Formats: sequence, C-alpha cells, structure tokens
Amino acid sequence: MVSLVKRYGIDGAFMALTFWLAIDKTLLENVYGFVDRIIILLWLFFALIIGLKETHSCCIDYIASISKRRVVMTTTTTVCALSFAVAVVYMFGG
Amino acid sequence: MRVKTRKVVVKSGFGEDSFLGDSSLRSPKERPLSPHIQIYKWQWTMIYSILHRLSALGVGFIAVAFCVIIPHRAAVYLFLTKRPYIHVTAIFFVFLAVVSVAYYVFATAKYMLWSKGKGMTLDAARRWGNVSVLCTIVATLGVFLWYHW
Repeated sequence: MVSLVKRYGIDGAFMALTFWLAIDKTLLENVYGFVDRIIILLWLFFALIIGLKETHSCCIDYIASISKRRVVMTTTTTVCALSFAVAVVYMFGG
Repeated sequence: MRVKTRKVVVKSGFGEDSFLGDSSLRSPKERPLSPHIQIYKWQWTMIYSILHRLSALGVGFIAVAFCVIIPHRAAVYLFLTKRPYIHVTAIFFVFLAVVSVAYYVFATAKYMLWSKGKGMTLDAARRWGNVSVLCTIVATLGVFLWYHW
C-alpha cells in the first residue's frame, strides 16, 4: 500500500502538476494569487520528496544496514514533513 | 627384503594454471577472469535506470535550489523572461532543470506501464527507454522554444 502511494501518488501528482505548469504559461507569472501559490508549493513539495526519496534509495542501495523497515519509515516521514515545511516557508514566508 | 619406494607427488591444486597459484603474481591483464565477468556487458536498460535515478536527484536538487538558493522573483525572471540569460551558468542551470524534470516525467510513465505488467521483455524495455529519451528531447526543445523564443 505504501509503495503504491509512493509510486502512483507522489509521482502521479508530480507528473500532473508538471504538465499543468508546462501548459499554463501564465501560472508562474501570476504566482501571487493564493491558488497559484498552492500549486507551485505542491510541485516543490513533490519535487523535494522525489529528490530526497531517491537520495534515500541510493543510501539504502549502498548501505544495506540502514534498510530496516522502521528506519525507512521514520526517514520517509521526516523527509515528507521537512519538505512540506521548506516549501511552505518558501511560498508563504517572508 | 627390498621395499619398493615410490615418489609421490602431492598436488596442492595451486599449480601454475590454477586460480590461486602463480597467476596471482601475473600482471592484471593475464589473470583469469571470473566467468560472469567475461559475459558481463552494459545493457541499455541499465543506462536508462541510472538516468532515471540521476534525473530524480536533479529534480530534488532543483527544488532545493528554488527553496534555499534562488529567491522567488529571480526564479520567475530566470524561467519566464525572454532571453534572460546573462551568464552561461544560467543557461546550463535551466537546461539541466528542464531535462531532469522532462526525463523523470517520461521515465516514470514508463515505470507505471511496467507496474501494469506491460513492456517487460528486453526488447520492449529498450524500445520504451528510447521513447522516453526521445520524448525528453522533444519536450526540452519545446519548452525552450515556447518559453524563451
């Protein structure tokens, strides 16, 4: 179930948002609207998760000792929370 | 009574042609190879897999760069202004960003196809890998032409 969410949820949402950003050229220009900020925030959020997830996978591939399920789940949850916090601060902070 | 003696030669298995014998003293080119090394070769699917991983790392790096390094107004300026490039580094960054995102999107579509059980043969995997690379090139050119020229 978790792997299905990771595959179809995160990647699917990232693909959909990427196509949206590529097609809707005015979206980034009108970024100061609330909905536009939410869309770009989500794109950044999913991009951060993908990058950190892949970094994590590299670590698991090369350091087999950390590939215990509990460690993986804890790291993934931390990564998600951290990514969301960074994206929120970037889009709405300051 | 005369006892016949016979010279017995005990073979240790470490003769000149054995794996652990004098071959270890030879130059690296003369040492025997492990059987699987002799038939090992790069596959296109391996290259596409590595590219997928690199593109995912690129996507993450872009997101980190946007959130941490590049101010939002500068990001909008970089990606939306006509011919905004003042330095070759900016061109390289935009190119890497577009290529990484495009390849990750199309390669992920391929992986989703595989997770449905389709295109799992070696020929089909290579064909879909070629398609994803072709789509990446077209998408990159399209984004550059549409946004900046």
